[in-house]
Amino acid sequence: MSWGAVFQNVFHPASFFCICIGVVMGTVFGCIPGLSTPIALALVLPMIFKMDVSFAICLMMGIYCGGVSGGLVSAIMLKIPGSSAAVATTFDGYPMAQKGDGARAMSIGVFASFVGGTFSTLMLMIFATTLAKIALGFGPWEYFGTALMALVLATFLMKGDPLKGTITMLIGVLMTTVGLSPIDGVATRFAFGNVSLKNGFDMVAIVIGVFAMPEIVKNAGRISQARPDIKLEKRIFYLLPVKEIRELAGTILRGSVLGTLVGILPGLGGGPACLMGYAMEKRLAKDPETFGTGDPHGIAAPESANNATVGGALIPMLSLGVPGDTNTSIILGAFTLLGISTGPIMLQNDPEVFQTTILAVFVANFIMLALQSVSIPWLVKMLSVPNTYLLPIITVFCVTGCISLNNNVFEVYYMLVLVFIGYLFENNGYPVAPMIIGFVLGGTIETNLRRSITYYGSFSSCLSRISIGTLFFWVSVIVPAAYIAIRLRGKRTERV
Amino acid sequence: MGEIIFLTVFFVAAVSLYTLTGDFRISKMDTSGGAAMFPRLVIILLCICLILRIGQIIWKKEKKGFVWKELFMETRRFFVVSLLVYVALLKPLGYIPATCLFLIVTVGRLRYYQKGGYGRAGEVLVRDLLLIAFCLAMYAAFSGILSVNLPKGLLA
Repeated sequence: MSWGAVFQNVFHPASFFCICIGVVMGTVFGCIPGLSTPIALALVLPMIFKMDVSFAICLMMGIYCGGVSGGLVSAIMLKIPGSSAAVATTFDGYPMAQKGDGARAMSIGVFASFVGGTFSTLMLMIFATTLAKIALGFGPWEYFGTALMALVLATFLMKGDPLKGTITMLIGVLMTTVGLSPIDGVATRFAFGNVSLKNGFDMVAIVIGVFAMPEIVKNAGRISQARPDIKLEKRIFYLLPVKEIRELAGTILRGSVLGTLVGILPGLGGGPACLMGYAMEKRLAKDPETFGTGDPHGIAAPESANNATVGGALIPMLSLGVPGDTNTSIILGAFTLLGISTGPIMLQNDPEVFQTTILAVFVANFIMLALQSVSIPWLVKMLSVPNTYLLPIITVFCVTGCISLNNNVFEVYYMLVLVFIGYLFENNGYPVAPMIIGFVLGGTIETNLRRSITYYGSFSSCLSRISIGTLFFWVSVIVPAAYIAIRLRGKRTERV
Repeated sequence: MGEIIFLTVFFVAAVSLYTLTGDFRISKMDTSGGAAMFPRLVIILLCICLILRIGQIIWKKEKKGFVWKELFMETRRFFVVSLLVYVALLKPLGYIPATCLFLIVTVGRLRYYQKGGYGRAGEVLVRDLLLIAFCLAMYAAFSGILSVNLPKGLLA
């Protein structure tokens, strides 16, 4: 099918309407803690049966784009990420909002999301086949090396004591070992006879328990404090001034490239991308001390990176039939329901579906920019809702969201335990972000490590291979070793 | 001292988990190192880091106190207790009664902490009705539309 015909398909009023509805729904689900993009996608699955294929694709792509970006709203305004893809946005977004620049923070996040998403979609269009071949060449050892390096770099580049960060990171990784063992599928680890624990811990419950709820508890202690006034200029569109776009251009472009590359790799989605984007930008910054205090680069980097994973994650899904993240897993299921086969044969048998998906994502990014730019006042107005109402209501959303994960109250119980642990960590200088990234990547690391050992015979055989995986593994070892060496050398110099 | 105790709890938990790894079922066909390999590796690294951190605290004689008491002070104490009671009552009472109770009690009490009073009777009534409506809307959305199995409790 020619691109002209695909254009007509996507810009058909009904298709365009589906994208708009999808973006709205995705934004709402993405920004409310307790709700998420996968829930929104799962909600529309029953409706997709009766829909035309192109309408269904447009709706899902709208939800996907809106949902990944929507997380920035609560991340900036409440320091509660709507999804794991917005965790890093809280580091600088919330401090900026606290200073009264919430609208500016949102504008930066929205614009960076738009550029990141559009960039990755352009890359998808231009390099789809080539990128798919590169991803096809990655084996388990390469995935292991990449995930390990991402974990180590994120931990050591985070704000705070790396030793404390490593402790929380390892706790996060250990939590991924609960449940059915991957690869062999025989051993049930650390379940203590509990049926619910056999499936392991859930990512959403972890993020809510460790990240979101401790913030709510902390805010409950400040209930008598007045909220800062939000400076909000009344305009129709809240777009960044050209001067600020120029200042952030490099950051946004770097985040977009990183996010696209991360998104291509199955298993690494918006969560690791936003943290890696933030860590990379902080590393490159002239004044890294400003990160964590409301630096605009600290918002632009993670937001461009996480939205750039949208296009990247669609590459393995469309070209290999392998989901890039949870969202693409559900979209893949929807494609199956629609009778569409993804993978290498898709370009041959259903090229119009491939083209429609790409164009729908492209258009959804523009609609997301327009919608979120206009609705900033309404979204920022949420700050004026008193904490006396907001905190209990968000708590109910979080608790209900945890129950909805597996239709089980058990998720709420361990979420509560994590609230205490997360609160104590957060207030004693232990960064919780490495715990979350450890949980996100722990399963990928273990699965691919064990696959590598199975394939090559032993760990030393894997190490002796000349590959990107080996290079990344040694980077993961050298970075902490170098850091420790530099610290020890610094102490010896002080004593002298 | 508080941090040392906190880290020691994690250390003891980690060691306990390590002892459990010996009971993991082994598949004869599994040549990947076994189900216990990765958890043991992580636990060993974690224990090393915990020991290093405890050593760091003792060696540096860190005087900065471990922040934990503020979790149980004033409004936070109330909120935490309220949350615990809410979760405990979810199953016996059911989602709707437990959530309504949590919202009414918590919102009312937080307002008291913020403004020094619960408000006029009419205000309280309207507020409580709106909170109940919100709770019912949540139930309808999650249970009816998303088909989530929320606890029914007394309403079963």
